[in-house]
Amino acid sequence: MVLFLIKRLVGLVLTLLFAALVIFLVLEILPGDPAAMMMGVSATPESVAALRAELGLDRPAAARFLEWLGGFFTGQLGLSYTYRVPVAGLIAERLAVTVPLSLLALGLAVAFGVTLGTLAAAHAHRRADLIIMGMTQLGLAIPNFWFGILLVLVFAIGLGWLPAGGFPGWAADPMLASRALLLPAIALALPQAASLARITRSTMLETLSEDYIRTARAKGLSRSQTIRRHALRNALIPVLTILGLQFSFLLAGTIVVENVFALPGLGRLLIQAIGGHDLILIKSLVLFYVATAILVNGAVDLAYGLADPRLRVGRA
Amino acid sequence: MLSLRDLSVSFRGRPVLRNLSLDLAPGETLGLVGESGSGKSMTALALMGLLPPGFVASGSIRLDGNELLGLADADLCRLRGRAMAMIFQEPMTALNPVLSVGAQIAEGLVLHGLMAPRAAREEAIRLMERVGLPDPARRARSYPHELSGGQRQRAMIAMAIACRPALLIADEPTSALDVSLQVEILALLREIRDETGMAMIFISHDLSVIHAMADRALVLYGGLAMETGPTRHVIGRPSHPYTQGLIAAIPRGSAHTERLRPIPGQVPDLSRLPPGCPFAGRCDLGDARCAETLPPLRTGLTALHCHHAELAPA
Amino acid sequence: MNPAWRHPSFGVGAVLMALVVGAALLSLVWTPHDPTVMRIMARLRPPSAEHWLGTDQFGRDIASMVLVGARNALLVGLVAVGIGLVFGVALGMLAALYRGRLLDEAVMRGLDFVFAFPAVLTAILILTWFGPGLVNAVIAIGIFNIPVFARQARGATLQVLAQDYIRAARLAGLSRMAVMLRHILPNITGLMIVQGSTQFAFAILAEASLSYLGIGTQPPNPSWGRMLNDAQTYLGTAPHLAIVPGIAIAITVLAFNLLGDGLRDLLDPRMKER
Repeated sequence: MVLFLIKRLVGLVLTLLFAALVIFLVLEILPGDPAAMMMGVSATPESVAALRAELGLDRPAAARFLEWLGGFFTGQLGLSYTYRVPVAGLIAERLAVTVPLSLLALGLAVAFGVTLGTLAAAHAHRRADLIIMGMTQLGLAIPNFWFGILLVLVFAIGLGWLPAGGFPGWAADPMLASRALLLPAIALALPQAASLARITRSTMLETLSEDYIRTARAKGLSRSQTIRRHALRNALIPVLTILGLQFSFLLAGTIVVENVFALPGLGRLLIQAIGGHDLILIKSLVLFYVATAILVNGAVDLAYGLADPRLRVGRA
Repeated sequence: MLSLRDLSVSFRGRPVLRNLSLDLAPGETLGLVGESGSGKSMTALALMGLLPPGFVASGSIRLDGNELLGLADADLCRLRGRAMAMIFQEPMTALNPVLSVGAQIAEGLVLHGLMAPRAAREEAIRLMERVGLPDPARRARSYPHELSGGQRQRAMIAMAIACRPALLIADEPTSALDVSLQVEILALLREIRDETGMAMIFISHDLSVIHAMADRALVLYGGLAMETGPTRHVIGRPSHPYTQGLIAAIPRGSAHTERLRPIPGQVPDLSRLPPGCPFAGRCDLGDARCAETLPPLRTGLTALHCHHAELAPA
Repeated sequence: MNPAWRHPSFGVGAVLMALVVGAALLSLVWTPHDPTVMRIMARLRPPSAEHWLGTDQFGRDIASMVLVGARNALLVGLVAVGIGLVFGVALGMLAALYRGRLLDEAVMRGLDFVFAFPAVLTAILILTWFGPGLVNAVIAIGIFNIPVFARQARGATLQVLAQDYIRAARLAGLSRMAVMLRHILPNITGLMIVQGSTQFAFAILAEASLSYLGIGTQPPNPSWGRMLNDAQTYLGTAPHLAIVPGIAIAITVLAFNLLGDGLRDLLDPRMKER
């Protein structure tokens, strides 16, 4: 078990390092002169030279790369070119929006996805199943940003129940702040819930045809008791592996949805940084996203081993 | 205590089991014999009310005077595991891989309101000891994959007898095990039956196992009861041509001197059964009448459905 | 009638796809108005007899833009899936052929790595480097498709390679290349088409997202995602702008997802869900 863990961790660290290297190459080496790229065509040679000095571009690339990586541990990621504030502080501040948003969306997606998928499997090939499966096809086809716009049309502009966008901040009014995250989380959760429902349905159907389900029924458990106590856990083990990949999509989704609702999160920061050619900010943000995706996938892999007793012992 | 009258099972209008009638007294064991696809397992599942989707049962199943067919699932749930229990063929797949063995055995006791969870856990350990599982207190926390095939089947038996059912249905409980384990498990089942006085329906394709377990035997073929009677008569002095063929096909000790006599032909496709006797096409005595009309029940030493067979005098 | 049409997913998917392809083809020869002509006097008009779906903030005809947008969406899907198919299938088959060797290991690790990046993020990274635009967006989406096809192609190729007749063909003296082209490629085509249909839908969604963010298709090229971006600004005054492009995206994505599901069932009856 320990050996397995160490192997996994080493693999994870290597992947992270490689990801950082690729991002560094793409954003700082391949453009030739990042300073010129950041300042655009109207820049004077003097101002470009000044920025080059600020970025330390005269120093060797390897040193800059290591310094950048070290910055993730010391918090010294440099000054944002457009905002003129430390990148680390900027990221930390925006996380207060993106993290609660992602968790809320994930929670909604799992709750609705697993419930609907289980319902569909329990009523396989009957009307409830067809309706749920039709809904999931729609959920997969509707772009989340358009769904967000529709939600705004109905619940913000039409009914006036919830804000159309913006974020008041947690400090001012936590209640208001959570209300501001509700519509974005729903928009973000839609495609995730749809695909989770489809996966849950198919693993649940597979599980329900297992012999031990008949054993449970022979013991006197009702259909719904059997599903809850015997089928659900077995059916959700494969769903768990998908969840890591799902989280990647969810993370990418926050970039889009934050822009729909003008939420001051990481995603909006990224798009603004791209608009301002702020390479300093972009490279740290992108690595932050990628590292999160890789780490979550790694964590899910480990969780998979813990959820299934067969694997738990097999690896001991 | 159990009585079936004209129990039939069909799948999409095709008969899988036809007009089965039988009675069972407490403490008695009935052996259901037949090749695969003869309708043995369907009979068991019909009794439990657990037929797969698409299968429909008709006729009458009475357990202690109560009609089971047509009962709502909620009512059947109160009987399953409590009044009647079942052991399945595949101990490998019939236990839930993510729940501990002890929890699976205790589950029924709590479900049927017989015990509180804690008492049920202790009872599960006692039951595991009773069925001969070594170190039951530790085994109770094991998961099925940590047990051997024979141990899993013992756990299955513990699970089935937990609520002291009046009727135990064992569907090929030893077919997946090797011979020495078979003998042990059969002995255990006999012991428990004699101890508790429960009635048992024992399903097997193996006549020697039936011989060892059952007071009475019922031979099924193509969804129809061919012959039924006391086991020693059905196996010792069979009257029905099919039963005779089945017994002639058993390999004996002196394989060198005596040639096997397999029944010619193949088991008929259940979806294309003749309206009459299902064995008609393979039977030496078969004629046009056999294929056309269902033979009536005739009773001698044993009871049988056949137009031609000579009855052994009772 | 061919039984394929009676499969519900395939049937509905095919009808919807015909609708989208029809719109794209129609837009080549006819649109109600010129979708690029701006009329400031007629801006943000609600639907009328003249402008069936109204006009946008520049007075452009929405109906015409949606029709031309279909062309854009199909092109995006076609090229992005094409890139993924060509490179992905080649890599996947090569990896399978040299299974367990360094090449296989390198290809699969590399693909795992690309896969670790969230798709839209990969696209954003590439677009930051190359600059925004339709062509770059399509390339970015295509690159994400490569590992998807490569994994499928590798798995499918390994399955075919295990068949006896492949060994027989090799014994009969056929070269590896000949076995690949003559025996394996035809065998995995079905699976690739199924995956292609799903990835087609994904590509359209991804392009719409990027264009909505302003880093995909650039004006004056009409794109449904871009139209939604514009529409959001006028959500309070002209909500009709936000409806039709979204429906168009949803229908197109639905069409290809359903087609993919239907084809999967039709090609492999065993995989049909119970």
